[in-house]
Amino acid sequence: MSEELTTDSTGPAGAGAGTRMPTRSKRTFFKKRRSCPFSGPNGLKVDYKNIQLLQKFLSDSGKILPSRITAVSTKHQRHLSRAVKHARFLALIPYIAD
Amino acid sequence: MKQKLNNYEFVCIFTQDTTEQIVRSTVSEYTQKIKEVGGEVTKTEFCGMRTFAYPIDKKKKGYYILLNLKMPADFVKKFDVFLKNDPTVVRFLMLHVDELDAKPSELLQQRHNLDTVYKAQIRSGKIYQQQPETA
Repeated sequence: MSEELTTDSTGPAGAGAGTRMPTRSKRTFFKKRRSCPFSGPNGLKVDYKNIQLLQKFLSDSGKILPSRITAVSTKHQRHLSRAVKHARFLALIPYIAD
Repeated sequence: MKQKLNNYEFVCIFTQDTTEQIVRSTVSEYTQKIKEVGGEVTKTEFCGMRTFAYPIDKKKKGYYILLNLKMPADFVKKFDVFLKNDPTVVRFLMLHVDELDAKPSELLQQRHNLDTVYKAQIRSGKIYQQQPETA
């Protein structure tokens, strides 16, 4: 949130004709990091029965994707991996997909 | 002394050879057993026949049920032994949970979704075309 505020405040300040170009190019470096889809009050719930949700966090071959790709927090990644393993046991998700 | 009841989520898969009637009668048997011990069943869902993601015991399909249970912890092991000796049960999963969800589960909802998809396909004639032209 703080990043957004700073970029907004620099926007009108650097609105001069000469200084505009460099500030704009600089701003592209501050990409907002994607937040965890399970965190927060409106976050999704990890459920081993919800296959459509679990499949978003699996690769095509059925492996669990690393959290650095899906941006899931460490705590929820733990819950997620357990949910995937429960779903695999109940044959809702394949162990190895081809 | 009153026993402390824990919350459990219980998913069970029956073999494809059973009918829905047999499944319903066995489930009512389970609920009676649980009631005898002093527990209760807060939700029962018959999620229907589903195809497995991989074959289990050389079988491709199974009948899924879901129960939300409140029962004493020492009955879990006895119930496990009872289920393991049941030949109609393919697999089961008993999970201790903090809170029981009273809403219909995703398994049941997916079944309804599948049913609607299936009906829509019949209406549009997609499935009808797949039938063999023997007649």
